[in-house]
Amino acid sequence: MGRRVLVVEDESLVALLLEDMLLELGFTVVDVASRLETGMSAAEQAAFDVAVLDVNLGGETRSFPIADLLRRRGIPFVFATGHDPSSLERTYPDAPVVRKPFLRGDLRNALARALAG
Amino acid sequence: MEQARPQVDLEAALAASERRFRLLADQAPVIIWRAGPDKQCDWFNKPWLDFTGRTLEQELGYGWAEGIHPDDHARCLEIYTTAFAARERFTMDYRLRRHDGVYRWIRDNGAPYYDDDGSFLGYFGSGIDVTDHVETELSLRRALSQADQYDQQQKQAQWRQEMLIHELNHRVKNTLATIQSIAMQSFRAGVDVRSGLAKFEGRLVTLSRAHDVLTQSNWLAAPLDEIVQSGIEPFRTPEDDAFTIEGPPVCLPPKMALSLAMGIHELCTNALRFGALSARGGTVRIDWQVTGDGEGEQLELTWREAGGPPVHSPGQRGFGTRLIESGLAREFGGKVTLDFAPGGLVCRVHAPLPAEEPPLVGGLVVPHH
Repeated sequence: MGRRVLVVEDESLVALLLEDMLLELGFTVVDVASRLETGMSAAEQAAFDVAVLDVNLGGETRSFPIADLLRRRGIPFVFATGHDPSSLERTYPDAPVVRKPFLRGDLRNALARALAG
Repeated sequence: MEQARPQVDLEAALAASERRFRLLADQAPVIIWRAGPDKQCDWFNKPWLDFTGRTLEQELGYGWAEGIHPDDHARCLEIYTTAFAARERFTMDYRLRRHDGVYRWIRDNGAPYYDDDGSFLGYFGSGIDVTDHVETELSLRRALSQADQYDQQQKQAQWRQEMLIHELNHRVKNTLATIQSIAMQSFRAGVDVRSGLAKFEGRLVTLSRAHDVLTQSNWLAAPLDEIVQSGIEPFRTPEDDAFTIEGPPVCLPPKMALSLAMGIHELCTNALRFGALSARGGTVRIDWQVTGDGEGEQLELTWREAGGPPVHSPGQRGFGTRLIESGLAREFGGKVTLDFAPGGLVCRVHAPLPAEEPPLVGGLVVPHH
């Protein structure tokens, strides 16, 4: 069984994409959350090795509370965003960032970096 | 006689001095007043009386205050009495009624005066008409405040534009990832390129139509019937319409609308290949209702096929089912069931309608601060 991943992504089509890409990369997707609240409870309770967090969860909601929770739990994560990652790099210098749309090589490398971190 | 003479001379000299002073005071282009130690005014020069058009008797004591603009009255008396009590100089601007009834701004400078041995005798004051000056200053201030307001509006517009561009970038990148997802679903291993391309195009066009519906409502909410139409449109033939659509007006939040449009498109594609749309006379009925009260409304939508070939359950969940499930079930806490009934496929979507859609940023709704 591959490493277990939690996916937090609010666009259902993009979530499906991530799910399929992660499966192809040999990961096991334990849960997909599409909102901050469900993402928080999954981040708190689910058993997984690494998380992929979409930064923007609709409107002005960001996934940063989930990132902070994972930091406290000591679980690595990568951010997924369509934006320029420079502002993320200031606040979360250790978190790899994958740009949307995704190159599967980028996704694989980001996850590997997070898991090695 | 010898001794009385200087006294007479002194008196004469004083009287002459007084005359010269009056002459000077009455010729000066300023209005002048004088008050005794009891604060009561006991003299006004001719220009003052000419200005107000009143007699000396009317102005004496506190009579002069009657000519002050009601809005300036209390402030003037306050400054006057406070300065007087402290024996201090003062300067104040006030509007004084001219003989023609027009109020003019007067800048009045008051100062205490004393006799040779230093005892306090009262105040002298002189004023000039500064109306033009004051009005210029007021209009300058108004202009400045308008410029400031304009500047604020400019800044706000600029900020809004930045937000819009930011939001647009976010939308574009997400849409590109969405298309990537559609491509991945359409070009699976084992699918030949031609049929993969046909699937891809159908999905892309459905996504685009759903965007049209959302754009018409500023991406706030989409009417359900229009979303259903956008999903089935490519599968409809005017001469032989297989579809029946029935349900009350309902508006869906954007993401729910997109998922549903894509899901209905997938149901159509499947029906065309294996289900009701593959046979002449086959029908699809899409109906919905809203249950529950204002606090927790539920959407119950049913897709029901009839008149198609015998149905058998496919081995694995298709893209359409996954999409409807993840878009509606996961995201909105709803439930999607597929029933491969012998008479025709029945898909039931059960989803709570959000009471209030959170405001979107940018293009769409002004961000909250």
